[in-house]
Amino acid sequence: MKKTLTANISGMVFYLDEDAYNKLGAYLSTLRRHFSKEEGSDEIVSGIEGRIAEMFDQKVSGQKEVISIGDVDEIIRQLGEPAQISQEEPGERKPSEPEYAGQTVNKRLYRDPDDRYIGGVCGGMGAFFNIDPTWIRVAFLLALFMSFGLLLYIILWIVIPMARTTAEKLEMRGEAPNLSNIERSIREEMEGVKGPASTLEGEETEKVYRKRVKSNANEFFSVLFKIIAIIVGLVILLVGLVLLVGFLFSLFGGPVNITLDNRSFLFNIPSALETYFISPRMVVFATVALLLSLGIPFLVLIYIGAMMAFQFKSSWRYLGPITFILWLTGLILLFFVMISGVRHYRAQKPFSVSPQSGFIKYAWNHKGIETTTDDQNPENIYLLSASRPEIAG
Amino acid sequence: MNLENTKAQMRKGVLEFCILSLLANKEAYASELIQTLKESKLLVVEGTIYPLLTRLKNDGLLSYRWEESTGGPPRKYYFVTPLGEKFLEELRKTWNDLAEAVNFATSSS
Repeated sequence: MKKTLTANISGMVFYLDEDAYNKLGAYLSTLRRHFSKEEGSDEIVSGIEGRIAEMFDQKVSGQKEVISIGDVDEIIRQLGEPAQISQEEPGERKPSEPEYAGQTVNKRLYRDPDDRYIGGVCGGMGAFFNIDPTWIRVAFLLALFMSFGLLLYIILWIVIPMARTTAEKLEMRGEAPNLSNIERSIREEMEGVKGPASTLEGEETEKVYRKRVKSNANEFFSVLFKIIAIIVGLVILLVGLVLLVGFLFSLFGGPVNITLDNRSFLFNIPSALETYFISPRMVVFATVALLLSLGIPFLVLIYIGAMMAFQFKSSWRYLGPITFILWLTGLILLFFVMISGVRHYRAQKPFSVSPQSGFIKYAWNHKGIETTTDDQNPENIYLLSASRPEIAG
Repeated sequence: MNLENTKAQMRKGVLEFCILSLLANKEAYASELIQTLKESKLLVVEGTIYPLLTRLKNDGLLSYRWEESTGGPPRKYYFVTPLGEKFLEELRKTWNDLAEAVNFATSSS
């Protein structure tokens, strides 16, 4: 089973197979391009389309409703490819391929008036060295910060002549300045200008030139901004990474030895939380909650940094909302954990004071069963308090 | 390939003349012209005729009117203008002279 497309050819409707449709479209585009230099090119192409409609009409019948690619091939063969047409057509002085193209004859360094932001220096150098002028501009911008860049540019601007005549422009690109090349070059220029609005040449080139210089300036700034975005993006990325790693370490990393007032303790967040604020089983929730509510913002930072540095946009539409929901969940969890912690904190009562170390051990009221942290195993003691409290009563 | 090229060159020279002559004899659609020209081997690919017709029309030697056809869009019906007739006369003379000259130059006797 094949896909069928509907085409309007010279006012008649035809059904074509997908590949036939594409081939026909390409053929018509080629014809249009070939005749674009002639007077009445639209008329010519519409005449040919009319002929195509006639030929299609003959091919279609009750039995066969769709034009196949074989039909299109046959029709192209009958009508002829543009090259064949120009062979037969009288009056075509222009050779199908310029004979001297590609010969690099004495490439000369000029400033390019068609590719300039300020003086056309970078454009000309780009043409001479066959590099994209953008890279040369980047180099000059960097050199600008080394103060010799500006001077260098000015010197080059004064010294290198601007390519004004077509012959000079050809020399700039390294093409031989002979008649056929010049003619081709002029034609290309006119076609490039003709694109937006093909009216009188004199006034139009001025307007189009101004539009082109303005769009060149826009390009320049957008390139500049892109570079800034990349640098800033990298910085944000690094900051986010550092924050995230530090955060993860503080949550899951091994206990850290902290010395305070001649006493050293082992410290990590979950245990400190457990000892002081919440019941052991809430630790898991607390960790998760912290991960979500703090970790996610750090991840977001990293992601934004990466987006700016590597110039990509997320293709997953739901990424934003999902991230936000996860973060919100983390906050809510945190909220509950805190409430539970407050309740538990109130439920504590001092159990005993260890005489040697002055640590206070607390009893947790879990479902009515009193438990304590073990005094025999000092490793299990994760307290941070250094004060020796008075026991009331 | 060179022979083909030369043949094409020869045909090129007379194509416009033949089109004008045919149309002076009888007005026709583009597709009818194609038919005749293909039969007389003057045309290899049909596409050639369209730029030619347009050029002759833009030069004022031809003109057309729209003819409704059954079961299809209206088509251009080409005919020769008075200017075209004069042009054709000139071409006919040139052709006859040319034919004489060539026959003379290529005669084996």
